[in-house]
Amino acid sequence: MNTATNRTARTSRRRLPPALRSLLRSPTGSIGLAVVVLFVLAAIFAPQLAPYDPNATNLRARQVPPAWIAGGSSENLLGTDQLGRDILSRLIFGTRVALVVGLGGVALTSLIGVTLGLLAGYFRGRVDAIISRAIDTLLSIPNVLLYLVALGVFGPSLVMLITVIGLVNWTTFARVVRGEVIAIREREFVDAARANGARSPRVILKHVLPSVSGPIMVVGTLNVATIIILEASLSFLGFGVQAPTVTWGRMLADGRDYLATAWWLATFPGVTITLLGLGLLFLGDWLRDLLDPRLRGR
Amino acid sequence: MSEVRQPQRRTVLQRLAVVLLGLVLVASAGAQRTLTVAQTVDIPGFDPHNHGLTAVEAVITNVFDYLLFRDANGDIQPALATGYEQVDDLTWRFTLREDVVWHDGEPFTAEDVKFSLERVARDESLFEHDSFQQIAEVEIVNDHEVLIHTSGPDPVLLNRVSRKGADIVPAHVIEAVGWEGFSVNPVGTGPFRFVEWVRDDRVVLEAFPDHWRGAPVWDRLVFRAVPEDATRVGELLTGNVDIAVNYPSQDVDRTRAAGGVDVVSQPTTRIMMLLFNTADGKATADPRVREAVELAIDKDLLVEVVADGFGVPVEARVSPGVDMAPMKYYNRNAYDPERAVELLAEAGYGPGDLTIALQGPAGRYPGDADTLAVVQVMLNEVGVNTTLESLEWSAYNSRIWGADNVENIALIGLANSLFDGWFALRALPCDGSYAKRTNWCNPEFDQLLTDAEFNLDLDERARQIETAFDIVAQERPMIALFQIDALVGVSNDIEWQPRPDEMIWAFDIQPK
Amino acid sequence: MLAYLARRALQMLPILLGVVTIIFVLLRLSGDPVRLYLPEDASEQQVAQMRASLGLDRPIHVQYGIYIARLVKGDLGESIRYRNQDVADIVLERLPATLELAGASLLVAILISLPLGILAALNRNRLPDLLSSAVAMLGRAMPNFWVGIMLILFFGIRLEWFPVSGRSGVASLVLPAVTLGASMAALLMRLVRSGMLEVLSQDYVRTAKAKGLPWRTVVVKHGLRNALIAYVTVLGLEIAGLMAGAVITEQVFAWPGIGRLAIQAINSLDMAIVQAVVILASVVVMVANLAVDLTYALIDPRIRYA
Repeated sequence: MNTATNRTARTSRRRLPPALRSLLRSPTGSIGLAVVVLFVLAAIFAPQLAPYDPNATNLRARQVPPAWIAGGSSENLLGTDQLGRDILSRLIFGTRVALVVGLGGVALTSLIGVTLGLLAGYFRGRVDAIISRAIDTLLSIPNVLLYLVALGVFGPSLVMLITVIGLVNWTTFARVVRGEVIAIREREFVDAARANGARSPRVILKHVLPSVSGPIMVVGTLNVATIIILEASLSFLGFGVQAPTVTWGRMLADGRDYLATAWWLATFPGVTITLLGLGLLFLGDWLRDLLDPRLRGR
Repeated sequence: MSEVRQPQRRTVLQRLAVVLLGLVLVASAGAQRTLTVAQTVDIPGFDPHNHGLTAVEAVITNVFDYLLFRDANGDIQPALATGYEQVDDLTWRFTLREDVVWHDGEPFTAEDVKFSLERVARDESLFEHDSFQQIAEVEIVNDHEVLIHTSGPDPVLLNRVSRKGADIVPAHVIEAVGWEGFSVNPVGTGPFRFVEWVRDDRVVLEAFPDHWRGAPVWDRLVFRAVPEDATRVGELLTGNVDIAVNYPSQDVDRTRAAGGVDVVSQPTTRIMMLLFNTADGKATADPRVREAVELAIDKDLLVEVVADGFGVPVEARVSPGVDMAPMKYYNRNAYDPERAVELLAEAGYGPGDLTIALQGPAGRYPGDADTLAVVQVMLNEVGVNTTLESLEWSAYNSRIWGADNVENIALIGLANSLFDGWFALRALPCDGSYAKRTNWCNPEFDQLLTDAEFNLDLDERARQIETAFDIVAQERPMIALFQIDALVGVSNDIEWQPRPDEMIWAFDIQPK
Repeated sequence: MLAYLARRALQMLPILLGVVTIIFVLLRLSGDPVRLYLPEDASEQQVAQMRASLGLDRPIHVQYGIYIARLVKGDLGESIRYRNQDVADIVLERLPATLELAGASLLVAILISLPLGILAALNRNRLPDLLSSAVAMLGRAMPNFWVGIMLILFFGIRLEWFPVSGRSGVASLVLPAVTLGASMAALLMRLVRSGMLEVLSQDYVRTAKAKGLPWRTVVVKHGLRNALIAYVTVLGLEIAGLMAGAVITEQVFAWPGIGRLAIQAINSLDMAIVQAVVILASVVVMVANLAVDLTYALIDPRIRYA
């Protein structure tokens, strides 16, 4: 194949082979993807992967250290907590909540954010003013407090947590989409004036959504990491998904009381969150680099 | 030149050091004796009628006095009242101590007693009101004598005037500055006088030498708010505090090993209990199921796991120091899993047939979430399926406990601030506050409680209360798991045994 | 100028009203605070009495009306926990602690991000750049309360270098400030780096290099100016995030600021205090945004919203 064809393929809006090529070229991107896939698999196959039931207490094996430390055993690779529950199994099962909340939260967030961003950017005027004012209002409240108060109302269940996150977190998406739409709108306007034909809103949407989907993917990937950390923080404060569901944040909260006597309770959940966060950040950065030429061309 | 100078400088420095050392030694010999206590919470203010928390009362009980005082053995001793006498069913005479002065020098009189007790007895917006509304009026006979009139015969009036909420406050100060001013700048008759309150940090009190007991041995008394367990432990180990309350049980061994400090355990009146929903159709409707649940729980192991052994298994809401609490239920573990399985079978449930929902708070009481988790394991072992919900306290309160929305079993921790056995049962009658949670109603039980409430014949009252306890133990609308021990870290430099009412009464504490 | 300020101030009011209303409604819907303050076996009568005396038995819209009417007069209502005490006093007393933490954290963030960002830019794509990139990434991936817990474990418990909680002098400020500052540093590092890179690519730098002039000083000076712009931008955008981070950090370290006060108040449904803290926080955020916009008018406004 000659290079001209390849270049066309790269600059076209279809991304498959060039994406793969870019991925293979980027070590961090591949690592990121691999890590995320690993966690997703862990979440799906948790019952098969985890050596024990995450809620199985073993009152005769409480606070057992990790296997490589004196007192530990290969029966519990990462040790046990104050009720004898296996830390590794709890970490694996905790992946489920983290990913469900992360992905569910981003899905709802982007749904609300993209819709409102589109409306604000396209219609401008009053609609834009109202939505922008709503964004300013939400952004004025330190988000942790807003989440805590909202969860107090809606209850700390998984569904409610995702709902509340969606309802509070959409502002970034809305702003990004709004900016894109405004830019596109102006370009289309100029083109339309040139081509002498009026473009219906639906056509503009047909052009806008694809152009917006790039930034959305980037912001979305990074947002998953943010939401996972947010969920952990809320669980840590006691407002997240409640026991007996295993969450990393809850494990950290429990571990806090045992820092002097069983440091592994609080250490490993944090390492896990960091690993998943890094994977998502690498993935997000690679996505941003991939879509960069188009972002720059705004 | 420099060689000549250096030795001179060194000598000057040496001399300075000696002088400074001497000054320090002199200063420390005349230094103030300060007792520092680390608690988990800060006080919300100095209004003794309006906080409701034992931990707060532990602080302000040093600033105020009650009419009567419960000593470490639980016996009633004179305080602001030197004598008392029951005149008739509804009237008690109290003779007040003379020559008592407030921290501002004004004399203490009967006016203050009337002002204090009538306020808490009549103002419905106060947190302590509920325990004092039995007092109808305080009549002043003269400056040092009052008659307390109760609205009905009150067998526990003496308990009432010697517990939190009964602190006597100065009428003249509050009339001048109002409760807003008084809450942040109190005046009392107690052995310690207010110096300063740094919110979320510390309360500083100093000795009141004109106290009627005499000057306290401590010059200064400091209460610090240290909510984090690890820090409280650290502060005790480094000697920054002399007493650390709510000591985490998992740090006891290493604290004792460290030397210079000890950890003392003291029974409290707080008992962890399970409340059952006995309504028809519920999994816990059948009394045999409820008995099976109790027999399935190895309460000794529970205490071992959840509290590192610092607790006592009980079969009713009883604890040492509580009047008229039948102690035959104290320190009892009826663990019998085989019998539990039998009872379940009798009730028609084979292994795996029954599902029970467990609900409880997390982080409200020490080890609460873990308690429920262990109970769950023990129920599973006798073939009962379980679901578990451990909610943060405000969620638990608004959704389950306070909403009368108990599915099968709800965990709760109950204390007894009146130190009265009747008080422990007061929520269980057919119209009591637990009725809608337990759906349990026993008219015989109700009659016993009604008879005992105003019964001034203390022996008969004790029998009535014991029979009521027996009914509860048999029918099990609630079961008791264990009584919580308070763990307090204490420096070896002081002599002190913690009190069952968890008051930290500095006058009792002696330096070694 | 004055007209602009007045217009902005007026624009703040509806937002503030929106904030107040949202929080008010959510708090009233979250449940009954009365039971949280009474013993577990309080009677129905006692609960009802207490609720009436706190004014909570009236319909929501009536309570709202009363609240707004009092708010306009500067009365922030009554705390349930701190009876008979001025809510404004209670909140403002704890504000210095939070400001201290925020200030120290910003200092830490600048001390970390400035040298690392400059170093990264000067050594683009070489080891220092990659390392600092990695550090920045790590800072963004690690939950900041976990960082706090790990710092407590190593420097507080194991090494006993610093106190692990409470506010008792500069030593106790170190760990919380590092916790909060580190996560901000991660964000700032990249901005400093890109700001520096931009300066480095300017023509006058290349010219200076070619002429053998001290281009490094020129770069650093312009780079610092860019960094300043970056810091100001981020401050304005992230002030709400900074406060949210402070809330969690205060909880981890039991730091007696308004964040911790707010969490205590939320846990005990002490509505007046929660509302007061939220109002204060919102005002601070809006004022910070205004300050940022004004600062742009002074500095060259070349902004990119990262």
